[in-house]
Amino acid sequence: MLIWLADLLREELGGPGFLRLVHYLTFRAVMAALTTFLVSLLIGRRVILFLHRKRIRDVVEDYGVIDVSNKRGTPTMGGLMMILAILGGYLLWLTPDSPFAWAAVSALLWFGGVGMLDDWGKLKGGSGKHGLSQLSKLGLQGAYGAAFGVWLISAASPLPEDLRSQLMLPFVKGPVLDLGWLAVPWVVMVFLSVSNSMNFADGMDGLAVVPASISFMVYAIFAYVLGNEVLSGYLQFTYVPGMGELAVLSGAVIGAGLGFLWYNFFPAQVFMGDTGSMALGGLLSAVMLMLRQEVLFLIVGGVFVLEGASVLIQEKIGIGILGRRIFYRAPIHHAFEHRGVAETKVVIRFWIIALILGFLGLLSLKVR
Amino acid sequence: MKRVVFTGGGTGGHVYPALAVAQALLADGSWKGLYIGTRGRAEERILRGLQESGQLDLPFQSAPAVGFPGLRSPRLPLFIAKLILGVAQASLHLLRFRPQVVVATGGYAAAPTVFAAALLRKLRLLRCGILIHEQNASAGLMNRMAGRVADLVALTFPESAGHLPGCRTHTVGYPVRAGLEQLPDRVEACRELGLDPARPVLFVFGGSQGARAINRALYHILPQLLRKGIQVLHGTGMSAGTAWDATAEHAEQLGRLFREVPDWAELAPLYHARPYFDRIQLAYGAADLVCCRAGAGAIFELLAMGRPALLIPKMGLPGDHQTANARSAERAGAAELLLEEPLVEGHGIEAGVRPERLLEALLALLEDKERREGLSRGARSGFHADARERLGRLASVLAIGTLPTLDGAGQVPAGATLERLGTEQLLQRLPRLTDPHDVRYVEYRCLAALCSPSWLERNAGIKLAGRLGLQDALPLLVRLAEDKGRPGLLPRLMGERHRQNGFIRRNLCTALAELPLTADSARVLGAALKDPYWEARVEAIRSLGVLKAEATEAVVRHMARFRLKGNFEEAQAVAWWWAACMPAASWREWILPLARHANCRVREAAIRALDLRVHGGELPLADLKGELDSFLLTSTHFRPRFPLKQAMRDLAGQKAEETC
Repeated sequence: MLIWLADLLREELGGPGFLRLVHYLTFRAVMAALTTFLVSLLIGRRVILFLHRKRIRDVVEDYGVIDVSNKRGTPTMGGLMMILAILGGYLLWLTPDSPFAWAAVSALLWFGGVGMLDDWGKLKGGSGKHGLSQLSKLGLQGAYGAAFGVWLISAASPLPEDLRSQLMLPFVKGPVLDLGWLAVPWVVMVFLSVSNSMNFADGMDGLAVVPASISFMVYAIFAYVLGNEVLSGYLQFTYVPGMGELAVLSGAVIGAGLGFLWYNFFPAQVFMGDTGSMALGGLLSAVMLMLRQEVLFLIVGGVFVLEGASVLIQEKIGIGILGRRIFYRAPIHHAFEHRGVAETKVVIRFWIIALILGFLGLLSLKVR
Repeated sequence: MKRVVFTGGGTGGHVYPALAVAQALLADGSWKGLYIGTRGRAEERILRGLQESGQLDLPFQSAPAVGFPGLRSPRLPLFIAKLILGVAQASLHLLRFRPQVVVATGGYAAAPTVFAAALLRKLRLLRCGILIHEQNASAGLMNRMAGRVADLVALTFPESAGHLPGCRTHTVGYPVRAGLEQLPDRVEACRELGLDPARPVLFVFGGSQGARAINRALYHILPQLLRKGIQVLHGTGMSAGTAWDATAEHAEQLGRLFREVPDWAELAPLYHARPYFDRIQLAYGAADLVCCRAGAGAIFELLAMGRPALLIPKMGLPGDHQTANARSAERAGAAELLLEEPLVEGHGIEAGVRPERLLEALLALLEDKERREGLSRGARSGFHADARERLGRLASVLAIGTLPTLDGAGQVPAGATLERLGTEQLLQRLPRLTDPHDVRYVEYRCLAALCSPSWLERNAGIKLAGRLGLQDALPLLVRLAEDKGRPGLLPRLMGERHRQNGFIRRNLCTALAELPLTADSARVLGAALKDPYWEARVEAIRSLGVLKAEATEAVVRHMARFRLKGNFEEAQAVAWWWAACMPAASWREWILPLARHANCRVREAAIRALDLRVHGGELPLADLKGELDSFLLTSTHFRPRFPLKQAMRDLAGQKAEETC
């Protein structure tokens, strides 16, 4: 919105020249981050008190870990705070006619909504078993994924034609495979796996939000490169005009994430709940799909891959087929806790791993 | 002329009560009836038979129905399609016949008609009352669903009310067939059956098909019973299927008795066996004690006649309804109950009665006249044979569009709904059970679960056995532990070698710790130390410690290996095991090497083990002093204290803090 305002002021009314700054991606990205961070801080306490007053408080799911009792009653659905901050901050700094921007916002709202339904069910039912059923959750996520996939490969897609249904691998120059219409199920799968892994990762204070912010940071750099004619030429990426918008969005998410972390790190004053984890997961999937860098997530989001895979293996193969545990506990952070590593230590180690993996991901910018 | 529709069926047990009510209603000609059931099932056969012989003028119409296959079944779409089709067809029958009242007696065949009637009523196309009769103490699935749309659910046993939440219920009893209520004179009956009225008579039967488990136990104890001068009247049953041929087995057993019992020639005249009794009232009339299965109809007839009975419900039926019926009768003081248990027969396990327990129960009753009379009194006061008329009256009242005023539903006993619960749910309910009868029932279910084909059931059964400390379960637990069967293809491809999966093997080891140590359990736990699944090994180590089992050479060898090479859970468990089973003086060898173990929880367990010995006075602290500084005390684990939460706990307690 500010971009319009600045143009209006400068062109019609002869406003000061520094208003040109809003056209610079880096400026808008940093400003978006600062705005969302400030908004988070400002609304944080109010949201927490509101959630507490409305009795929106965590009902602990027992994974058989050492102690979860002192987490009970913490206000949850704090994802609301992030969603509000992202909306508030990002709507100020986005380019209003960019399809990338609105696609991302729609993912944020849809997945946030699904998470909210899930949280609400759990609260009403009084336990983790009463949320949305696994099937309806996957159905709602998959429905959005399918629509997104169709949009991405259709004529309405903002991507250039030679990029729409191509599969890109990190460390490989150019597309490796044209998926054709199979891109739609592929997109659905990406949405499902990323948003649910994010959900599993959200099991300790600050465990999901920091690695997610790091992933967004990496993708912000990719978006900046892809949306910049010179840089994309130099690094031999296909230049996609307007893609830089996603860097602004990522900036907004990082700001909101840090603002949320302000309240969420150990001992947490608020949990993001499924509202937050689904919203982040959906948004992240949308961003990396538009960048055509979803496979890179296996590296950049290694922490989430680990969390998702551990649950899948433990639940489906271990308990479902073999009738035994394969890991001490799943999701994997609980396995470490079970071994006697304190929560704070697990969380910060996971941050370190996420950061290292983020660096590895950045390596794929040039090493191709 | 008033019109009534009867429905119900799938099996004969749901048809006969409807027919009994039909007899009562249609007798005086003021009612016109129609029966809606499923084509090709018991109800069609029975109805056609009655109509051809002219006994009952009740035309038969069909509406398709199939039993509920389960929510996850692939046949679910077929079920839904059939239900919709059935409701449509039943609606047509109902609209054509325009009944004032629908009487349903349960079974899946009743579903289309009841739901069609409810639908038409809602659409104001038909005005009719809906009356349901539930035969069993543990209500069937169909009646639990249909009960919500019915005006009234009439019950045989008051306990059913607990299974039918949200339904209007009223206990009326079981509508027995007309002419069965009259009990013939004992002397008369004995003469007709060729029995001596001066001697006690025991009547044993397992329904028209016979009950294999009861028969087997009876053949075993026949000589003992007959030697006491008791005449045994035995309905062996007419089953001749491939699974079991009652007549052949009877002949074989008689041959065995003849060969093996020296005084059989003197005893044989007291034993009267027949495949089937045409007039079962005669046998009831002659008997001093009846021993039989616990189907709702059979026991209701029996009890309404005031016969003392020993009921042996069949194990593993849907909703465990026979046991529910028998427990209801027991609760009313009208019958005694002998529960089946899984018995090892050759290679398989089969539900059955242990002969010595049957003998004990029978003799206790046969030799105690007062107890039998007490049961008779209880039966006569609690069970009345007028259910037919009462149901008829209820139907008449509903037919004129009013709801009958009824006395309150009455108190449902706390244990009345246990039969409906799964084993896992029983496990959760266990701490709240106080009645010893209920606990005995849970024990029975525990044994049954241990033989279930579903691993989830077996697993829950094992946990239950441990929680109950049920010693009778020990042979079955050992059997499970030593089962060498192979698993299904999918687990086998993934490297699992045992049919009894990891959770089962682990929980077996946990449960054994709750039972007294025997040579068997020590052997099982020792073998579990070699289990491929780590949690099973850990629980085996722990249980050996809890039971203070003798540390044999093999066990010590395994433990020493776990301590050094095992995962952290094993090393931890070994420290606890050492504290319970090894001489305190061996601490240098066993505990000291754990002082710098990589895992802080193992180091903690090691120190706790030493602490136990020191405070038990077995190890002087002074001995340790020099070595204590070798413990690595930096820890990756800590437990935060929240003074705010503590303050709330101090003020209002744990529960209140959790909700704040």
